[in-house]
Amino acid sequence: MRIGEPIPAVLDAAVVIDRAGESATFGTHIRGSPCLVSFLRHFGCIGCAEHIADIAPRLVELDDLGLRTLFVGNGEPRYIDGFLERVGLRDSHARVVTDPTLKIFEAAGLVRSRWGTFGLRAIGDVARGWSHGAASHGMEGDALQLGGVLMTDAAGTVAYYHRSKSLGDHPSASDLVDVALVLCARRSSAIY
Amino acid sequence: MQALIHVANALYLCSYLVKDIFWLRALTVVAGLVLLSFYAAQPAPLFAAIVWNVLFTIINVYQLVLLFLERRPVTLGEREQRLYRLVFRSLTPREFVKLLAVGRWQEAPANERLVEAGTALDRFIVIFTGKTGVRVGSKEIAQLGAGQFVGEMSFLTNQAPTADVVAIEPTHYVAWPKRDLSHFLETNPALRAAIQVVIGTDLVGKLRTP
Repeated sequence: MRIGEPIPAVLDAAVVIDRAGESATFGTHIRGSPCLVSFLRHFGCIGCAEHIADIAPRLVELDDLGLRTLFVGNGEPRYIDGFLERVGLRDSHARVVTDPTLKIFEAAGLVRSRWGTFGLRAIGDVARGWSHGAASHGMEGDALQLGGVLMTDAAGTVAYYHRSKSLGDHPSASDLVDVALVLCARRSSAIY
Repeated sequence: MQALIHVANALYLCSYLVKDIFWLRALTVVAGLVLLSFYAAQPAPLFAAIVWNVLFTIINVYQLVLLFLERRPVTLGEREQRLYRLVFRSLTPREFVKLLAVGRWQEAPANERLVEAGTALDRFIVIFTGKTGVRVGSKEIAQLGAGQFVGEMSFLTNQAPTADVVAIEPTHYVAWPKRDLSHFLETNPALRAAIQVVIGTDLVGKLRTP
């Protein structure tokens, strides 16, 4: 995916499922306003828990800047409720959907990797996650699928794209807020 | 003499029990000095252990000095206090002082152009007193007053301004060189997050104003 280009049609049409088991295309979730999409690994992943702990305190800020937030997991929809409870997102505006078939991850250009899951970098990620108070909650989805982050404007154009190389490879919340600020500034009729 | 090693280890034990990093380091330094005297007082002084302990002590003393300097109370002058209350309340006073040290207080007489459309903007401004007008061509599309930012959209998007910003009345402001501010925020992650909140609030306010 390239910044400044529309998201690929195959990603736009990829189907995701919400906690109630309802299906919808990815495009319907992200169109209409700028959107931050965080592709998680499985719902019990320690790296993803750390990533959400970093972002969660800033979701209101992102909301104020006009961004919707969508988390995409890869476990069964029945895991979503427990996940929302654990990461403290039950009362937030962020939506959580999933695709156990992993097709959306492939469409988003994200990789499955043994090295990224069990390699040295991943071991370091787990240690860092523990040191930040994050915890693993069992295997709730595909263990080898790695995540990433996508940010789009209201028309579905890519504003930011990050493909994780290991289980804890996520951009910082401040990096994402920077992109959100840029998207917000571009809505102004004049730059000054 | 044997008592020294017990005193040193008791001090290390105390250091492990405190939660404040300043006191942890301070106790470690004292324990290290006691241990040094124990090593030095041996019939055959333990030079390898002495060298390592001296190194540890130097590092700890250096960090203690940094911690001490960071913890000193902050005093703000009257205009700094006013600017702090006006815009930067989400920062700690010390963060605010650090940020202010990168910028410069400046004044613009009425009709001076602070931002010129089409010319790359190399600074980021917050208005302290006065009023400015945002003009696209000859049309004024907004007015900016005390506590509002000028140049943040250009700073964020890296685009040249598409509007002029002109002082309507004598204006007192603080300006940060864009490059210095970017570097400063990169090296101060906590402050970066706080500044993002301040800029975001200003930006959203501007977009909501018709």
